[in-house]
Amino acid sequence: MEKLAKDFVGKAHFPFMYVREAHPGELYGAHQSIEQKFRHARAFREYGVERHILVDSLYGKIHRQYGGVSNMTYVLDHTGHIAFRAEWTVAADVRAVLEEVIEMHETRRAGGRVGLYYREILGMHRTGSNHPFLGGQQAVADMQRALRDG
Amino acid sequence: MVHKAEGNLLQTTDDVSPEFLGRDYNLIIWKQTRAEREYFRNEGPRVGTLAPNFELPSIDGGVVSLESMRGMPVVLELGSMT
Repeated sequence: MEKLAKDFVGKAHFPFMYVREAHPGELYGAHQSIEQKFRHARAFREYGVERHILVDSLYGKIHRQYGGVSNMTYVLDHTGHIAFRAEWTVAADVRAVLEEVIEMHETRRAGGRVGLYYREILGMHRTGSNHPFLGGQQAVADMQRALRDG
Repeated sequence: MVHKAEGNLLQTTDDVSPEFLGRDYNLIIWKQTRAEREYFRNEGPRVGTLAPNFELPSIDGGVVSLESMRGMPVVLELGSMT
């Protein structure tokens, strides 16, 4: 997503909203104060996240308003309407939608007509990512349990 | 603000929504939410609707609103370290 954000500088905003830990571990545990949540959010800079990082309330007011799923992405068009949402973030999906949103916007601006249609897709991705290792061994064990138990 | 562990969830004396996800927040261990079990079909704002505005603090200081980003597409990712 960082590469995507760089590829679209000046063409799209890429806010990252830090929400509750999905697989809390000994390194990044469940939030018990807003100060702790901010510390965790700032740590993203150490992992190369250069996007604008916003911090949700301790009890996830906005996260819950936006569905409450662990790692969602929404793509909004130029007017703030939702063009795409997914409960898992896949940069290639986002890139395709973003290119389409921008192209259709430019078509409209040039006086062209744009037709809308609704579509759904069940996305699939490989599991077994070592991403939760950032949270520590407890987080790894938690992820393994989640994958096993569904 | 008082916290106590109850089951695998952190409970608090304030700001707890009575709805399912409100009781299910700040997990001590991962627990699949109703939204995730239902593959995200029924929770959150839908495609084609206006995204709810929010104002949230930035780690770089200040408060950022979603409305302030109008005029360009927005890729809003929600996530955590783990």
